Amino acid sequence: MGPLRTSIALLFLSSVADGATSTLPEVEVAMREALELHAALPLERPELPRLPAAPPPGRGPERPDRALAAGGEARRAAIDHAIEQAAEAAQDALASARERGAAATGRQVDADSDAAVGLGRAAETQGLVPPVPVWPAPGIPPSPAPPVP
Amino acid sequence: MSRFLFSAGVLRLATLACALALGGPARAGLPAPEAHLLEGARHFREGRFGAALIEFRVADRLGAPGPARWYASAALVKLGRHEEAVAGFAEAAAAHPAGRDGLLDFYRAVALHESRLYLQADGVLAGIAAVGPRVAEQIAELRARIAKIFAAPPERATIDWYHARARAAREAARPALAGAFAAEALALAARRADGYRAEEAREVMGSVAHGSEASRP
Repeated sequence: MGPLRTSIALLFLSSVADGATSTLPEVEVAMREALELHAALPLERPELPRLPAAPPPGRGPERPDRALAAGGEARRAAIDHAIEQAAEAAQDALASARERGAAATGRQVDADSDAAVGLGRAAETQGLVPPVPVWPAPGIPPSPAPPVP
Repeated sequence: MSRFLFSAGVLRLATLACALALGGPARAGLPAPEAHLLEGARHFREGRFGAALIEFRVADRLGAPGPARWYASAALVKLGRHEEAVAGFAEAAAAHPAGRDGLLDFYRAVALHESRLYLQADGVLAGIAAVGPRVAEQIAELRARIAKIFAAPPERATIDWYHARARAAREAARPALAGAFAAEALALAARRADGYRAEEAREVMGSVAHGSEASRP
């Protein structure tokens, strides 16, 4: 068989293969049944969306200092309350860090403890809680006790 | 020439042989793409839409892109991936218009509706014929719902929303979806006396007309 005949034969075979890709009635019927079965109305009622209007230039979200400048005991009390809550959270975090530090003496404390210690130190620097000495420092093994004279 | 034909023929035969050998759910007497389509239809019927989507996409890869893309888009609707379905149906309609069917058009309308492309959903619903009484009832109900929200001309802020979505879709390299949002903005503009941002919508539609999202995962 010459190359031309071979090519013709292969073209015929490939066209048969191509023909096999048209949808069979069996598939169409099965899919039609499935589509009918699961056809359902959307649950949500339609409504037209709207793009929210942009704030006028120069007006951003209100900041606490602006709120204070605007005055008002209610706002002042709300801000004081928020500061108290933040201080309490910092104290809780510090207590938790102390506990974990005690449990993890001689080994590195985990990332959560680091974060809590950091939070606690931030509270100390702001004078919200009294400073607490940290010994041993996280990640540093305790050094031997100094010799007793 | 004959060498080229020979190579093309061998490649096709090899592809078919591999497909039949590795076809997974292939049944005796069914070529692999058809077997995957049938398996997908079964999954769909049983409510396993994720598995159905996979089968349809495999059938697409194996050489049955016509029905497979329509069916995969219907599966995306049932999976709640409506914007992907909108893009999928648009591409299926452009590439294989003969695969269009009343039931598939209903699923397409649901995808458009859930993507807030209400005017396009209504247009598709209006053209549906030859479906069963239950689906016909659903079509009437959905069209009535849509008609209610267009009792008054759309606001400018509404048209702005569609332009914003078209821009976001374009930036995310989803041209078919961007085109759909721009088309909706244009249809909404036509309902206003001032034709708000209509020209802009036309420009977006023209710029994304030849894009394709078929290769998206």
